[in-house]
Amino acid sequence: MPLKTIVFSLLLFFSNYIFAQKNDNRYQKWGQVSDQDLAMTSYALEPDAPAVVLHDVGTTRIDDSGREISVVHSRFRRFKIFKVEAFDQSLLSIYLRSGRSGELINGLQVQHITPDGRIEKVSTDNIFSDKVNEYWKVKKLFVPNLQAGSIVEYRYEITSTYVFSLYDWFFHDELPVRWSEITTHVRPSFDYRLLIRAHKRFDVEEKGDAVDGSAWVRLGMADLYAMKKEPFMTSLDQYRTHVRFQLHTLTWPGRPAQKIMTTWENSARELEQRVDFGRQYDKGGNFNKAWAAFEATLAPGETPEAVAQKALDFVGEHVRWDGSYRLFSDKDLDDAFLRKNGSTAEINLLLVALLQKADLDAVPVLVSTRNHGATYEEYPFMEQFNSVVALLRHNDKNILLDGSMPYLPLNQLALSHCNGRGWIADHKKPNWIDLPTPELNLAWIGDAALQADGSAVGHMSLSSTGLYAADWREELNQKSPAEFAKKFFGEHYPDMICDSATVEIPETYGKPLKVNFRYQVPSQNADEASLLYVSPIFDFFVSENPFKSPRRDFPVNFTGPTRASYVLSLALPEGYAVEELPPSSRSALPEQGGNILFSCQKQDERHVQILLKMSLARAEYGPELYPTLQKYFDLVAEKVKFKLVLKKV
Amino acid sequence: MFLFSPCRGLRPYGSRLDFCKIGLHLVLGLIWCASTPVAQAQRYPVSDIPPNLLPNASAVYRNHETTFRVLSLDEAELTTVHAVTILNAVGDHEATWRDYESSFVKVKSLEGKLYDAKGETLRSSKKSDIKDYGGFADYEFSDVRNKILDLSSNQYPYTVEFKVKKTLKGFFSIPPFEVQPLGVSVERASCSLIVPKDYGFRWKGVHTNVQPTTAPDKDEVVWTWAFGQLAARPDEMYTPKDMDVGVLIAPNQVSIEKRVGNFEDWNHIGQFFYDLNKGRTELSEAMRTQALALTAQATTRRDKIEALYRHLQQTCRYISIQIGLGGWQTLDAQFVETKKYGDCKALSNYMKALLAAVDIPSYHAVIYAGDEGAPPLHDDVPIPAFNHMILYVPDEDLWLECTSRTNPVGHLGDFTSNRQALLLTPEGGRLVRTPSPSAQDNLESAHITLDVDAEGQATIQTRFLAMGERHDYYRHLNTKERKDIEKAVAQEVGVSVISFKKLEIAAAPDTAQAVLRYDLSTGSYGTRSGKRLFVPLLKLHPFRRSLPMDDERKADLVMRTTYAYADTIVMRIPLGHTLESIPNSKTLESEFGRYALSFQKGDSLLTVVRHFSLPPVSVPASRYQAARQFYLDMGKLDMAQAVLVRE
Repeated sequence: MPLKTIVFSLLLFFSNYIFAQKNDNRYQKWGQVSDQDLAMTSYALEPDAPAVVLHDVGTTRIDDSGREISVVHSRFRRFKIFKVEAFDQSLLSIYLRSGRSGELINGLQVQHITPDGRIEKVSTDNIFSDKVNEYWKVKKLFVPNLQAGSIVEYRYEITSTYVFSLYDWFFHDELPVRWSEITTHVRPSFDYRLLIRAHKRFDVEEKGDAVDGSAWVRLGMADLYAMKKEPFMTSLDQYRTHVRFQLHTLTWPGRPAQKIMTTWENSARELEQRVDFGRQYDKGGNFNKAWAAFEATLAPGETPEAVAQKALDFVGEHVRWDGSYRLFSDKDLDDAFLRKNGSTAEINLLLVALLQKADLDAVPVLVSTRNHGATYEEYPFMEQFNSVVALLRHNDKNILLDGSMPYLPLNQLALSHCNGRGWIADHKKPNWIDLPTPELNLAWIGDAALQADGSAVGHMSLSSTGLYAADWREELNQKSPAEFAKKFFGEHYPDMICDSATVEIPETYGKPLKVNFRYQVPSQNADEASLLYVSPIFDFFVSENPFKSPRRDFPVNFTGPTRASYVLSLALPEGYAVEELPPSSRSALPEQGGNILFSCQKQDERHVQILLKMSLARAEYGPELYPTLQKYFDLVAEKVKFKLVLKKV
Repeated sequence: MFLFSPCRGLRPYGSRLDFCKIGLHLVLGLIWCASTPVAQAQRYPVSDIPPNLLPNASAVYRNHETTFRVLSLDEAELTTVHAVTILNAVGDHEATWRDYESSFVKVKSLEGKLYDAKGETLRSSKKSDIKDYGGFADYEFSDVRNKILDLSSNQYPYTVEFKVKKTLKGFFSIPPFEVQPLGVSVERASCSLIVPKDYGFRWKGVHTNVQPTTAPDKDEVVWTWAFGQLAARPDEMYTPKDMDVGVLIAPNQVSIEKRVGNFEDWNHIGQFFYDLNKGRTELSEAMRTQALALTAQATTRRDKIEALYRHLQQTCRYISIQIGLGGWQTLDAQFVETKKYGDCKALSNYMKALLAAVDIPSYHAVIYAGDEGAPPLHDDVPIPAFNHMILYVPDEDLWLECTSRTNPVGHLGDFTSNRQALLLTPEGGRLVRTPSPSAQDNLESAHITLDVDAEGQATIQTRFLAMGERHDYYRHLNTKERKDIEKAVAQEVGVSVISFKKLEIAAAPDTAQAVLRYDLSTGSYGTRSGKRLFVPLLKLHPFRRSLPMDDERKADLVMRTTYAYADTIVMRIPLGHTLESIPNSKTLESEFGRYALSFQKGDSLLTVVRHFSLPPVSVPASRYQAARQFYLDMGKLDMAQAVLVRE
């Protein structure tokens, strides 16, 4: 099933009178199940699915009748079980936000329709409320007496006072979905923007005005296939058809309209005034202790780049990332500095604060992490972001900084932050900025002296840059360089010995991190023979094809462009000569998508030079390119495994 | 970190068995517990660490004081002061205190401090720093809350100090004093047990000969085990289960929710749990009638068991609700009868009730489940360190795992096999060993026909039989959707698959066997290099065991996994090619197993036969090198390839 995600946004003005056609037969009533559904033994479009969501219907409305305005979201969902394996699908959990804008659940009803059509109400002693952590509560529904052929339906209402965005509606599920729809009713005083991410057109798109003056919009989609995560992909949510409503203007009777979604400029201004954002890093911010410690490391006349590097090192050393992505700081920056840990907001706002105090032009950049999804660049609302990085501007040069991962060089972000574009929270220049894609650059350069028994000794230098170099450095914190070399380089040779290892840590940005070492590989040949078959590529980016499955549903995502190269100068053993050299080759992916270069050449009578290079130019390849990609990696794996044939002379 | 997506009610397919809460406070509470607060503020300059404590250590316990004070049979206090210096990133986990609360245990206070290498205080924890987690899984509801305090820092070395106070109201066991895990050295540790004068208990040092001092008070006796200067032992792979230095303590008597139990020996402990769980097997009349009907066709006792076990598997599912004593006591059989769900205890008990309805006696058995085996149980200090319940049918010597929807009757798998279980019988408890499969019981046998073309692409037909513990995966895989099976099998095959012409799994209904059959075409299988074609022969069913290089192995080598391979690979020699080289036939034999590889060359076919068998291993450290070499030699033979030359 090829899948393309198109992002389009509709501006809906709730003024058109279009009468709803509520007689859609896909809409089913509570407790009323058709004979066909009762008799259904598999879902025609995905016959071996263990269960199907028959329908999933949501309604969201604003309730302004009470003292406090609230958003009421009701949901009615029904699914059918075909196989016992799907019993787990009846482990239903409804997650609710707790805390300041917490959610309340009302009117939860669950019932089980047995294969013979009896309705069993699920009593409350099968429903459990649990607190997950400080942010989430959960209702767990343990539906009793399930059988193959059971239908389960449940409905509930969630109320929240958070009106700025309404409930996100996802149409796809891990099960196939026969019908999914969301209807949103909005009071005239609330003007929302509807943001849509969909892979095809809706089957139902209706809107209209109700008698009481409210407007509504209804979106429905039929026959959605089951979605399951595959390796090498970003968040599944990215691909699920999804709508969200974001508040644009709020109008109270007798009062001027209040634009909520105004301009990027105004949004930046508001952020700058927030106690948990702009006030943290401006002149009045509480980061004096951090500054005092940082200032002591500065020398007069340092370049902005040098100061930025120092700030990054300083923050990386003093504040450990606590694993959470935040847009706003929970505590003062000095507090994070003294506690030695903090969220992405605290860490990166501290970077902004220190750089600003050092008289540099530093500002925060808001990002949406890879799991959080893509941004909506036309709409200035902050809920689309969930994390912060820092930006230093100097002479038209932009330098991004991210202190959440130690050892990252300037202009490199932690992987989760590498997601499209970020937005600069600066009311003077509220622009979007390309976030770097993490490039993978790996290189092996070395030599080997081959012995007559097939064993080899040599020196190798492994190098990497950017995010991967930072990864290596974290690992080198836990392992000696020799252990690192053994694990990384000797992965496929349990009896390889790596020693005399050293690490070269780059002093300047952009230079690779190197691990140099000596290695010995005992003979991999079990028998002595007159012909020697040698595998001189001991290690590479991949040693086997990572894409073994004949199927692929989603694009393959490598997180960033990839380049790997292996160069080895091989000295032949005394008394042996090359019997046959493999032909050199060069292959390419279509549209400059990448290439493979391989050569194995005699340098002189005693030496052979081996070269293997691969590159993938793009971070992502669509599923239509999957067979090509599978072939590409077959070729890489073949080259990695190639054998040099030597004969006794 | 937990990442929850609020919009999704569903969780992924294919859950497996899960631990029950039995014995949880041994399992979860493995960070020792507690002691008298230290009077003066302490600092822990790193320079004070004796140099002999640094090798092999990622952390050093600077000061560990823990006191378990028994106030009465069912009340106790646990106080701990624990200061640890983290030397490098490997030791970071030592900077996090993980505790839990339940109906029986409350964390009264938990605080911590972070010091830099010089011993300066960097941070004192606040109440809001303690993370409170619960609601663990979608199929579980319990009263257990995790309490976690993370003080880790990026500046090594650093020191953290925790002070913890807990109260216990009702307990079955006294948490063992855990003094020294692997990879950690101990500067000073002191473990105290304060008990009323008439309180009876047994104790046992594990990996230590330290003797306690006793100080009788007016009404109490203080027992103290003191440790100092314990150098770190390296954190090695495949070690025995109980490597930590510590002291086990077993009370003679326990009390929980007014139930007093004699815990002097396994017999009495078993009696206590038997009494706690007895009388809960009442079924409705209708269900008893159904049980009789289900077994009406069965001629033997075993057939009856099988019919009822199938019924259990097809109608019930695993959901765990454990509150208070419910962590130890089963729900009534009628609960499961009406709801068709329950935890390991409830499902075992329901199965027991079904069997009772047709006059087949069975016993609950408590056990420590986990695919890495169980820690040893001691007769002299009997501590009920269990986390799971299964059922035993004595008349058939049959074990039933009642939380599995797919196991054939009597099959346990590596989750519970080959370890001691405590049978709960009307005559008290009895330790019994669950079946330990031999290598041949866990056989994998492939018959592969390999057709490689001149470019190295192949078509492969395979019949693959898996038995015993090795078959569980395939039985489970078979419950998935076709495309998920294809993806999984392609991964198994280890070659890029272009298409499947055939793919099926047949799991035997009543024995622990599954047969996977496939017929597929691959991308690159062999490697063309000029006029030669290199074809790996055993790649489709490779041998995978290896041990890391280690010249100074300290701990015994223990590997419980045992299995055998018996394979035949028939390769068709591609047209226009001749065989230039194949390895010689070889046999390896040692205490670590037997491996035989042979080649037979025909006109157009090459037949490869490989048999090997790996027994479980339990040898002293001095044999480590020999074991490693044996697996290395096997691995090399397993790389066997045919070299073909174009004519």
